[in-house]
Amino acid sequence: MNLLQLSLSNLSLSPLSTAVNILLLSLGTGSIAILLIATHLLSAALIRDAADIDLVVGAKGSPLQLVLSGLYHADIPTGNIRLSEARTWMEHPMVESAIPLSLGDSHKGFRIVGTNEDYVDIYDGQLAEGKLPSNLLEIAIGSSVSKATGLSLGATFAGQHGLDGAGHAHDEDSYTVVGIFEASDTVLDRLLITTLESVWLVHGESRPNSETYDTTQTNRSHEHEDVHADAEAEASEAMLDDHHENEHVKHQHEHEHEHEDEHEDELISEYDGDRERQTTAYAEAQAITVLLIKYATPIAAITLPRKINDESALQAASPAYEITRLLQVIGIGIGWLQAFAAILVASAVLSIFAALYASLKARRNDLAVLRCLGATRSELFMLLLFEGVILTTAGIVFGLIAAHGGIELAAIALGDAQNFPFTGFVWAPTEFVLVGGLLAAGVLSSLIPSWQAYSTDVPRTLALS
Amino acid sequence: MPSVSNIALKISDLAFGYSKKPLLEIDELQIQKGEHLAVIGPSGCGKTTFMHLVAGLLRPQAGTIEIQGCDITRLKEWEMDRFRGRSIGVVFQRLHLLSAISVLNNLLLAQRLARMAPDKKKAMTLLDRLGIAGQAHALPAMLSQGQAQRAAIARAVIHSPSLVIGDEPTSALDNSSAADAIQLIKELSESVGFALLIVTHDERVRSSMDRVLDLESQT
Repeated sequence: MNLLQLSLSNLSLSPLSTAVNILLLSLGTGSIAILLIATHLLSAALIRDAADIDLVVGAKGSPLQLVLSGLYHADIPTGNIRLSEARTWMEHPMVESAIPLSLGDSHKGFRIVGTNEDYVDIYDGQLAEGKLPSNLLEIAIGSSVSKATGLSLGATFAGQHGLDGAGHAHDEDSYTVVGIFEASDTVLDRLLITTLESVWLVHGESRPNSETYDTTQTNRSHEHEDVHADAEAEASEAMLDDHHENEHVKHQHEHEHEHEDEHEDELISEYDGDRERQTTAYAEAQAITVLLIKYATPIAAITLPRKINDESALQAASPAYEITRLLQVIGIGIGWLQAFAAILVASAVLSIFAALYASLKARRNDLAVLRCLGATRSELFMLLLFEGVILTTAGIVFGLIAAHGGIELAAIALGDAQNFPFTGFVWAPTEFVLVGGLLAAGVLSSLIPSWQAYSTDVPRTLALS
Repeated sequence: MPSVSNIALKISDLAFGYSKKPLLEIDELQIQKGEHLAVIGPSGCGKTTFMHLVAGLLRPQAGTIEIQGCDITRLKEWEMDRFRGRSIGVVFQRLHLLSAISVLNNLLLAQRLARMAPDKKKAMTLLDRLGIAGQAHALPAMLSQGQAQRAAIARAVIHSPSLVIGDEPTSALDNSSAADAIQLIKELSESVGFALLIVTHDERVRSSMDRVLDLESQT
């Protein structure tokens, strides 16, 4: 039996009061911890998914929407742009690399992205099985997509317009899964990656020469990119018009589609020297949704976005700026929630103070007896301090368990449908500050009762008893 | 003349008062090891104050109080606390066992505060000797008055002190229990070897002690 055990025994004497104090502090701690963890996960995901992309270029509209849709795939696109318009900036000397994306379709809520291998590389995407798509209507799927949809290598499915699963299904052009990515904890996990040409084909854009157009001509090259119509971008009426106009072209080729597989090898052999010229011209006439740009020089950050916005019909948005702005907006809401949680914590700390103070009054005799048994004033001080620290620590521990456990349970419940990868098995650095602050508050709330224990007048207390 | 090593308590020229007028003045007092002294006097004569002075809970204005040759008036407060834990046992009028812990833990805590290694076997042997081994793991609130007083006596002597001070230790007990308690504490005094100083109004206690100090005659 030592003083720490005595503190525990003292607390166990009034279990209801002890439990209520711990519960109050747990609620406050848990609320703040949830906000801290969520903010940390969101910030980490935003930074990770930004993948060092300096600029997102797309159709005019909300710059935040452009970044959210083009980089994080968490919003609808602002519209489409002609590849020929984007070309100017892709070849600009201040641009180190530019990756085109064609968006608009989805499968069971997961986005289908037409792009090239460079896009996979920026997320260090590694294939767990199969290969990257290189031919028309081949597609590689993220790990979350694979888990959620059950798609495996060789599986076929048709994409749907939009993201809500209610759009028109492209039943006539089914994708075939040729690759499954390893989990990367990036947005890649939740995407289906195909070639730009596949997206254009599905959306009825005519192909150059034949259905056997070799998509490798555009992979990892900015010279052979194509265009598609983004069905989600309702704002992009002009592009949608293009899409509809091209529908009839597609219908003309339907008969050929039916025989595509049969003739594929034969047609590939018919490839001739005009092909590159034709495909280039074809691609330039198509549309993309966004262009992800990486600067070649730091000075580009100052000049390039302004040039694009001023000198073209396109819009350039800086992910760093837009996300900072977004987090500031979110931060206001989080700030209010944190203030509310802080009130909970303050109430809990005051409650601990009240409990200790009341307990002190009831135990003055015990404290005097302890002095008679040989306890020093400092030991009495520590006895009360231990009680405050035990209550605070228990509140913190239970609060953190509730917060982390709650987030993990929510993550399990949401499954792969969530836009950001949430998990309870993560520790936000700001939680250290929270724990330190709460412990300090617990110690502070115990100081007055502890000091009163220290100052116990033994003869007077014994005489009064 | 007893040898110094046999003197458990020695008080010389002691003076204490809460105001300018001294409440308590004792020129000379010695108690041998194993000796039993009853401190008597009317209410307000300073019996409890005397006990607090001997326990080092109060500081005299003048004089010395030596326990086992150590002048406790010269000790710093924290040194006095440790000395008290090691060398003095106290039995209170209203028992004052710590209510949050079991009887056994009350004894083990007393050992801990005496800076001794907790000796559960010794504690159980003592409780057995006092007839309350069966209540070792009970909380004080579950004991009868007589059992609680035995537990308080056990706690006062568990660390083998030089001096045990009792402040009206039998006032809350019936005649039979009071006689038992005094008999027990005297037996323990003889076996352990501590001096016994009991502040009392109780004639039964006074008559069973070796000597009596009447504080009224001292002032």
